[in-house]
Amino acid sequence: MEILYMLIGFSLVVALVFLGAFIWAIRSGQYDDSYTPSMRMLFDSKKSKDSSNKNNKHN
Amino acid sequence: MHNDLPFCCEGCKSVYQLLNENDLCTYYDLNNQPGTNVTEQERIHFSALDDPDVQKDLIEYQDEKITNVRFYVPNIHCSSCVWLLERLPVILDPVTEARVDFLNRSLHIAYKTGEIELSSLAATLSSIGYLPDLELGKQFNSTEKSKNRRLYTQLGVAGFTFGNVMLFSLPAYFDSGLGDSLHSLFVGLSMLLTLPALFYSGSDYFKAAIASIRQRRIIMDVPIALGMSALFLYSVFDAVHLGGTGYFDSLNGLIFFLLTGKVVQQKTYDRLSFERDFKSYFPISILKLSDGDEIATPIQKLEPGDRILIHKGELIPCDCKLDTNLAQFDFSFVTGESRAIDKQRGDHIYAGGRLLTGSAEAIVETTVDHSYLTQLWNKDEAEKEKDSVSWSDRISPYFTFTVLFIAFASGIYWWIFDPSKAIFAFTSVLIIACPCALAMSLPFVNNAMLNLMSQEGLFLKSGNVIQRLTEIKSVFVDKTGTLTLPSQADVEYHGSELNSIILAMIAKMTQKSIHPLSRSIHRALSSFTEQTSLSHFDELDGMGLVGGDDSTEILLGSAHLMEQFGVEIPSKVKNQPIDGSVVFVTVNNVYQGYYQLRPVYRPGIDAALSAIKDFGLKLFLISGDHNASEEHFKQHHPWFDKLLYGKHPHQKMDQIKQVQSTGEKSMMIGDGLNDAGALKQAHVGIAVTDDILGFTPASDGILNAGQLSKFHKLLLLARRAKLLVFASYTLSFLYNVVGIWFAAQGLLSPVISAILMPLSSISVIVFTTLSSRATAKHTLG
Repeated sequence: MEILYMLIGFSLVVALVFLGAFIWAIRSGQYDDSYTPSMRMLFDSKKSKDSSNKNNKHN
Repeated sequence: MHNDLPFCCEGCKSVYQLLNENDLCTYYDLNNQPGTNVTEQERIHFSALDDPDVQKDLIEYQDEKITNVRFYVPNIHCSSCVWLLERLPVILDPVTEARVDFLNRSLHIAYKTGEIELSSLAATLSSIGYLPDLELGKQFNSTEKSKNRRLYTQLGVAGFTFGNVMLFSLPAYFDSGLGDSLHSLFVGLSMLLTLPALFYSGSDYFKAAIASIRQRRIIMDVPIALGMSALFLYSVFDAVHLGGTGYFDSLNGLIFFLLTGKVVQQKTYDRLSFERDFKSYFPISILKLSDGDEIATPIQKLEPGDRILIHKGELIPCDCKLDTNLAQFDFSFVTGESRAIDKQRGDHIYAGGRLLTGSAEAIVETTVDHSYLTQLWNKDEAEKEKDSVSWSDRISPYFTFTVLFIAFASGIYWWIFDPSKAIFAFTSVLIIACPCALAMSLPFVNNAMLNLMSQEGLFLKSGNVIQRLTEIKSVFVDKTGTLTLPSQADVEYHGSELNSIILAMIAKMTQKSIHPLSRSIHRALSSFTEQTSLSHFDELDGMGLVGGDDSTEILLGSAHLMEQFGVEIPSKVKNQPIDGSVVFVTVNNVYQGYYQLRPVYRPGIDAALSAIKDFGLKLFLISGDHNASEEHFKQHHPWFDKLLYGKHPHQKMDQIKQVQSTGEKSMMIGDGLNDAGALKQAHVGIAVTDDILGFTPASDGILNAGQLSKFHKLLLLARRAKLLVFASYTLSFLYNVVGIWFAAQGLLSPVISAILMPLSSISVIVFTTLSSRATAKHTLG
């Protein structure tokens, strides 16, 4: 049963890493606005079309 | 028409052109009707934005390369807005990034320093229909953000420890013969993990409890802190001294659930500002006349003695003396007076009035901050703490003492009969008497109710306002703009009949004027569309309209106009006091009759007002308007206990103070700056508006004017919310009774505690959420 010591130790470390990630996410402002990203993700990215048209215009 | 596409107006067409050029037409695909009507453009003097004092409120960061600026854009209302505004870099080259915060309606822009002026930036935003509101933007508060971050971190840590400690406790529940060293490991880790939960996540409860005890008050945080301490201390004692497992799982659960209650409570309506500085009602700048030049000057910089030029439709920025022969103003928002007021050269005009006639010049008498009505409007004036002691805080002293009493009683009982159990029984009672469910009842009901009410158009500042709504005994209601529809009138004609050609000509004439009386008449006559042509038309400021074709000459206007043209008004008409506004009609210099315009009352308010009376509340009308329509009003709206007319803004506030001095709590419902003082003074101040995103005076709640007819239902909902909160308290009492029953007998084990605690918390959450929804559905229909 001594293996349990090691397993518990590892699982705690992994859990702590995730806690750390959560705290980092809060500090980098990811939770400041939880509504707008939900709108943003539904936009289509027509990036290539936008930039290629702009290039054509400049020519 | 443009590109074979129909447009409703020039504004929308130019927006389309701009978007098309930059290949941003996806804007139109994202929503059914994106954008808004770019109606009559107000003269915005953006050049004032280049003034460094104005800029420092908007710029968040600046160095030689990058400038970060934040604008508040009230027009953001759909995903198209977000989509378009975030593509601002495509339209404006110097802009490198644009980011929208939808709920706050704020737009963050990063641009290359020096490559574009703030004024051009704002002008571009305005041209696509997203005019920034510069004054309201100043009220953004950045401490909110860091408070929230701290709370989320606390919640995260508590959740982390709760989950892990629960896992470590499982073996002990099932008594699976682990062996001593593993047992010590689990218990030791549990204790270790509890430390950050207790001292970081739970720290605010201890601080608040200590602070409140110092003030000799016992708020909810006191029994919470007591419970947490008892749990921790006894658990350490149990683990270290008695070789047991302690109650670390219950403790972590307690902290976690309490924090979820706090997170729920923290939610505020960032998109609406309840703390309105009157300055956001005014434009940012006005034209100052100096040495023959017209300079756009920020209104803050106006000095007494300056000469300013006010255009038609603009607001007077500060108290001044009129220096134009005749001008007419609309002071309804400021004083409640519904009729247009005539002023002459040399007259004193108050800040906030709107100019109805052509351009006027005036000489500034006071600065913006020292205008007569400013002290009434100014949010900086020390605001008395209006919050009532919350229901939770009211019962917490009783709760605390009862628990302490039972704890001591059981301790003493066991001391007599079986001393070995005494300490255990004592601390068990303290441990299990969970104030957790109790503490969570109020935030969850409040949050549910705030959400439900907001769906009905009533946006309250905080949960405490719901409580205060149940405490009021009388209601004061404003008339102009609150009970009546602004800028609409009931038009009735008295006199000799006019034929349809004449009526069509009147319709054409009134269409050309922006005066509210003209607009109302035009609306009433819009069905007369006979082909007529006006060969001439003139609007005489302050008097009326003159117009006609070759054979007919029509005069529409005030008694002054009639005098001017030598038309005799029949004496019985002249001497009769007429309710509302009067517009005389003359055809070919012969008096015909007059239009009587009366305010239109919002539909459905009578049902609401009578229901409010049925609640047993006293109802008062308090208006800045004259009392000409008093008899008519009493007849049609008999619900009021008293009608108070002609009240100036200060008098409105004093009236409420007077009632409050008798100990009665009142509510004020109003819409304009003339209600600002009363709204602040009343126990609950509700600002009514037709445009939620527009300007409203500072209040405790904002009500969408169209929902005024349902207001009594919302009041009823607030009362039912009180019932729900107390029902939830009862539910948590039951859990406490069961728990204490075990504890006082010395039978409390960690398992029982670990089951009861989360169970009570979760059941409170479920109960409050479901019952709130059901109650709202039943009440609001």
